Amino acid sequence: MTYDDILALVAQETRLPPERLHPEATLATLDISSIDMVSMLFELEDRYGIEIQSEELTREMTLRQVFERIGVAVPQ
Amino acid sequence: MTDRVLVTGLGCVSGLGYGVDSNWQAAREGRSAIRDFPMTAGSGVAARVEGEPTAAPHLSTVEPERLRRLGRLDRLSAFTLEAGLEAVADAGLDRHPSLADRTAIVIGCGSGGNAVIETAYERLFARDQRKVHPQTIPSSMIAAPAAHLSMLLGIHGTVFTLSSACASSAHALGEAMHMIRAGRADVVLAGGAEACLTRGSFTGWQSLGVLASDTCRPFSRDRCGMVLGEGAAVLVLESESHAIARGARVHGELAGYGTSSDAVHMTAPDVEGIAAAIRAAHHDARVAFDTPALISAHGTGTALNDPAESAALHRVYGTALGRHRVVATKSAHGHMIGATGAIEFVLGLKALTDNAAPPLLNYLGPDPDCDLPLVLEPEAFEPDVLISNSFAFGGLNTVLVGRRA
Repeated sequence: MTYDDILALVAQETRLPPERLHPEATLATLDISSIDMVSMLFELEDRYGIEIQSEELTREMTLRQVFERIGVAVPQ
Repeated sequence: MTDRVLVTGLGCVSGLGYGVDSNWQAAREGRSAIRDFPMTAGSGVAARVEGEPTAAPHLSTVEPERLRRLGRLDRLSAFTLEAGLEAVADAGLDRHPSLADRTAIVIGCGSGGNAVIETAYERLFARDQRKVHPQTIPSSMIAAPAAHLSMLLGIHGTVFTLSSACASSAHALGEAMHMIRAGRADVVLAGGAEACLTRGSFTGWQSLGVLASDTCRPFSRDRCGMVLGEGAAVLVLESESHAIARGARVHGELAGYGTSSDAVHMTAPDVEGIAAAIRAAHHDARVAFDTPALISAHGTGTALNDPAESAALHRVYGTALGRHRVVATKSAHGHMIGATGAIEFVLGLKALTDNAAPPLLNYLGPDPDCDLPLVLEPEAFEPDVLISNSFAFGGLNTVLVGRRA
């Protein structure tokens, strides 16, 4: 599971172009809806067995924080 | 006086292709979309839409941000959106202010998003997984296509899906016509969609014993059943006053709508029920039974439908039947279930406009129980009206009457 894998997963489930998925952007500014967030978590668990409860994510979190919670480092 | 209900926009997707022009050209020239349909287990024939509908001519040009808000799309919604976008562009209504509040949407579907549902069930029942994709319900519900179209086009009026099996989109067009007659809307996007060429749905139809193993041969001897198709057709219906005020181009008129319910049997058609719907449609449109008509038959190619429909046509028209011509385009695009009434009305209107009856395909010879004035070769015919029949499981019958512009 690499950063690129997770980036692709987020892009797929939010239907956002990967180039818009800046690490410092928040889920709110990216306008990621709660159902897309839940879909993202579903795929994450399905593909990589990572279980994160939707309550652990807030719309104010940045993508970097989300990636850290998932356990992948954002490349410098 | 009540406004007439005009058709000012057309859009469709079927195995014959994307768009009204390619569908009409194929039907008129007698090309069929019926091909081998291989599945994981077993096989058959079907009229499948080639390619991904999200890459279709209209849908692929929508800004990604507008599309993103709709969530996941089953093929059912993608077909609806493609046909709807084509119809609205054809009507010159794209981003028109009337779309916001004096426009309604009525979409007929026989079933919901089969592919999404089956993917979810496969996880549960075949792989014993605990969860399904969170968007399984919103993207597969039968109301999704109408809702998706309203979201994409910003339509805030009455929006719903209507379901009456194989008559769904014919019912949708008829009920939409009445919404305009009643003054409840100036414009209605009406039609239907179906995406039933999935393993589960196909197998269900196959198990019922109504699918042909070779092809669809309406009213022919040695016919052996129907062939499933898929796709969507959406028409822009508009009150005459609204259409005139904006200088709309008019394809024709939806002049009448007759319905009946056999209330007899779930799958066996009833001759009198069918005849009652045809009579009601003529009455509603004030069209005499001997007015030369292009009759777009339900014509499924099944053992039971075709003789019942033939008997009903004889009962209603009597000796005047010889003045009419009967076509059955399911032999070209397959039985598109929820979409079929609408695409047949689209093709029927094109036939009226061009005075060209599309040929019935795959005919092997006469069946004495289906003695009708069939169009077997491309034929110049100048009917005054279109009579478009749709008869569904459940004995739900709908007949639409079309006129030239």
